[in-house]
Amino acid sequence: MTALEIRDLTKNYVDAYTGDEVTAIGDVSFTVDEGEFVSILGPSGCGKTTVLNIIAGFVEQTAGTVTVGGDEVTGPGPDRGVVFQSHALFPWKTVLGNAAFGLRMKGVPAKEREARAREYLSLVGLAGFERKYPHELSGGMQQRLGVARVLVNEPAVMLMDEPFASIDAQTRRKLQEDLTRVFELRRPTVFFVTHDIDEAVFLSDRVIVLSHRPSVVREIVTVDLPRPRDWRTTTELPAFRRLANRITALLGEEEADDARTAA
Amino acid sequence: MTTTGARPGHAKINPMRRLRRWLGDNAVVRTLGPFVPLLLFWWLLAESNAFPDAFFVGPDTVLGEFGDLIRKGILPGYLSDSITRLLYGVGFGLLIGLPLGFLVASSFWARRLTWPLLLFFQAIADIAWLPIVIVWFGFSLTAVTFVIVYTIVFPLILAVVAGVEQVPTELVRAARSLGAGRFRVFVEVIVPGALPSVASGIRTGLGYGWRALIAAEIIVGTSGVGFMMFDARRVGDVSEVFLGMIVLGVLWYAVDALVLAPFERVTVERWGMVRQVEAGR
Repeated sequence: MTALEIRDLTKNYVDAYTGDEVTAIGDVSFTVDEGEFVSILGPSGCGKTTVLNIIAGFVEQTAGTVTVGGDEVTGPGPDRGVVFQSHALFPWKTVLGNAAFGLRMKGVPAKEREARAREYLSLVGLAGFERKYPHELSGGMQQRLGVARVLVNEPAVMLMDEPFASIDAQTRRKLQEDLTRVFELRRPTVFFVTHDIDEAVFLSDRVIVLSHRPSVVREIVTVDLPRPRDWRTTTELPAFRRLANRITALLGEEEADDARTAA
Repeated sequence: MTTTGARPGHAKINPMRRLRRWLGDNAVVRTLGPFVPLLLFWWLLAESNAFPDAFFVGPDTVLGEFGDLIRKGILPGYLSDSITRLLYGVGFGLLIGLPLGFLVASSFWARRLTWPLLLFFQAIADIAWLPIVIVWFGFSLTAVTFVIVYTIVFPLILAVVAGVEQVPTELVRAARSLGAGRFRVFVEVIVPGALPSVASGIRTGLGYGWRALIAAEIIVGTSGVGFMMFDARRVGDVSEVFLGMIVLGVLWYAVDALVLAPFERVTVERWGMVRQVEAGR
């Protein structure tokens, strides 16, 4: 079953400084299946985050359609929970209050939403921190909460916007492994924006490689690495390096193309 | 873990350091300590007879005056008059300023249309309204309340607008993508997100309101601390003027320490939204 379908997406905007109309997204189409982990990669400034913001309903597209579970998307909604790079947790709510926020908006009774929030908090490794406030958590733990807050809502697709980019390298490895573990356990549908090639290959079932702006889908790479995955074994597989090198080459060609255009 | 024997590290703390720590931790010392040298200086200045008694009196005289006015019931009466006026003014000020602030902040057009007006009216000093207010309402509680409300409302509106603008877009987006509609976003995100700025707006507003009250009492006055001070000046009683000034300071300090600071401690400080002001914690 297709969870998310993007068809002929384009986005133009007017540059605030020059006043010129700029095409950020040329023509992007792809689908994400239910229970699939799909990453999107591309040269910096290619508009990967814009794609995510359009899917989330935060930004309006110039043309094209976004369909989630067969329905066309017009604005933000709980079927598309977002994990932000900046975490975007509510500082005035406890860890439990943050995790239960979506269920409260849905009108789930207090007892039930607390039980479900606790379940997801322990799934991401935050059991025992329910009464803390976000600022009392480390960056890595804050992002665990960001993931739990979305998953507890059981969205049709979880959108993740470079969620580990602002976290130190060591913690990032751990978070990537734990995200994989949670994914393999619960099989949510995930759409993941990143600029880290290894991260994309390690986490994903498929990787969408975008071209430079105006971006189009350059290639969709299928990652057929076995699950369950963990960082040590998976990254040492010859297939892992092969895939990573191939994507590096695809992105490298992009940069070479740029150099040619510039010259 | 074995815990027999003396705890090392505890016995060896040098007594001076322990005294310093005790002084630093003690709330009374921390609150009143800085006033001790000030009082001492005041007392020495008065004792030196550098100024005649008609201009400058010492703390002992003021303390005597304080006891006297308490006994006669004048100070408690005036004080409760002043506080009642302030409460009325602040109450109405908050009631008008908060909703208006959120209204102005919530819409781009409302902000566009009202901003010049807000800046214009904020620029007219509160006291500058007194002549016309007295014409309209006479020497009454209404006149004083009007001036206080006026003083509080504008800084409050500006603080609310600034607070709403400070709420990160991502928090609003997060709430929306978790199923919150526009009203829930307002209640759950905009209002608490604006609170740090709103709290400091209330603090500023109260401070201005307090000053406006005293000024209004001096001019409109039939009772109150401001009236007491001005009346004392008329009959040449300097000690009562001094007393009035001290009462104003103590009262403001009390409002800040008993109402505003605890409110901020359980909200914005608890949430990690401001750095704690007090050092050494």
